[in-house]
Amino acid sequence: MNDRQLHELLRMAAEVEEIEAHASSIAGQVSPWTNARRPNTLQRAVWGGLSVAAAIAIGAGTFITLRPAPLQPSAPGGDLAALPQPTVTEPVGADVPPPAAMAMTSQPATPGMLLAIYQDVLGAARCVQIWPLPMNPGESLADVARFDLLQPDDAMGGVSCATGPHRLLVVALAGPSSSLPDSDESAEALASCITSSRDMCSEAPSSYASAAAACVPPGVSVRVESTLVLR
Amino acid sequence: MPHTQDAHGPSDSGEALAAIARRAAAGDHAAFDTLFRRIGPAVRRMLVGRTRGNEHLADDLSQRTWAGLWQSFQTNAYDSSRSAITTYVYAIAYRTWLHSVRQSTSGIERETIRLGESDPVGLGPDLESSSDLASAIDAVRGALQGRENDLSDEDRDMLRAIAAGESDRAIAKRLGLAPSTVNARKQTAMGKLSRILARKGFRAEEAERGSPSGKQPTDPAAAIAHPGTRPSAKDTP
Repeated sequence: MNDRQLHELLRMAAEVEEIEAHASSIAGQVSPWTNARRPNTLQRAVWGGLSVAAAIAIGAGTFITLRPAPLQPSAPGGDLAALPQPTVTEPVGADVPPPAAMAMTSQPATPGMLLAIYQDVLGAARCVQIWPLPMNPGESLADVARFDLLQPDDAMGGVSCATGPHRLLVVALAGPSSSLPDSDESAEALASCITSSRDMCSEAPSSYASAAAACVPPGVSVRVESTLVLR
Repeated sequence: MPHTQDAHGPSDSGEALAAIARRAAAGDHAAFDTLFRRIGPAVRRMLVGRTRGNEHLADDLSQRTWAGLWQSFQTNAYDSSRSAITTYVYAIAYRTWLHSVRQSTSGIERETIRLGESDPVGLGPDLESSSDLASAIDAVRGALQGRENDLSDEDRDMLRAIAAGESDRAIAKRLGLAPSTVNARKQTAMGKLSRILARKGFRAEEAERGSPSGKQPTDPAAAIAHPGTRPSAKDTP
């Protein structure tokens, strides 16, 4: 065994000692996850009625804006119900939103959707599911909270197509509704494009984001998040 | 497949962690969750350090580490008599990180990285099994903890200083010794450690230890070998 290899083993031993010391130090502490409540997500009521089950613990994300996605005016009979316009009132202290914010709230929402890809330990996709992503007016993917993008995990309520701890990779898309998949078939085709054209040398979320960027039409934003599902 | 002489390896922060690991290995999801909460943050921190602060990549590798651990439990690849659970999780994390480094670099880049100061060292195909790597690490831990009579206190201090990344100059200053003396003591301690590992089955191939310039053999991955069976194919990832 050469010196470099011995050095590396010694370094590993030291790192394991640190991990054990940390494990000992938190033994008996209350889990930050078991008692944690997720922030209020009432605005995303589409997930309502479905149980929150998993202990989502760690995650990684990648955000890619392909091209500026112009906000589309609501088409008649469009994807989203009309939202109430903000009520104009007299300025009262700090409660009044700045003009820019008011302008944002008067914009129509950008349609969004989620591709939930369940991966096995080797990164292979076991199955793909499609979920709607309700977005607020003027909101971009970058504004959406991470845990909202990972709602497919919660929504599964323990009835996942993957059993045991596994990875969930969510590809979020936002853009004109005409550019987003409008059927199971087109969504599966997009998922297939993403999983087949990604950099096969990397299972990192960034490789899915790059692949998704190449698979979606212009004007669609992409964000990728992943998480470990402990169940 | 080499086994450490200590049947149970270093402790898992007391019996509790080892007991939790046994339940998790039997398919208990709650125990697995507890294991993750106890060990996960520190493993992630290690990965952040190994990826030089790339938190996204560290998260990604951490996810794969734990999915890999579950897979190992499901396939009975984890043997608690060979390594502590902490060391085993670490070994999976290390291999996951090493795999990502190898995937993300071309051959030329990899060669450059390999020779870099703080970059991965090929540990050999045999040690690339998580079980064997964990067993080797636990053998080193046992030696550092004084379980081997071959090592004097001075040897262990020297090895701990190496593990902490302390330079010869820093050690010399701390101990009030000449750097050449420190270097000689280091070589002595490393030689003893190498022999201890060889006794446990992690033997060296010839002509590598103590090469003057620190030069690597053409393929450092081939420089470590040990007798016994090949790593289990079930050992994932």
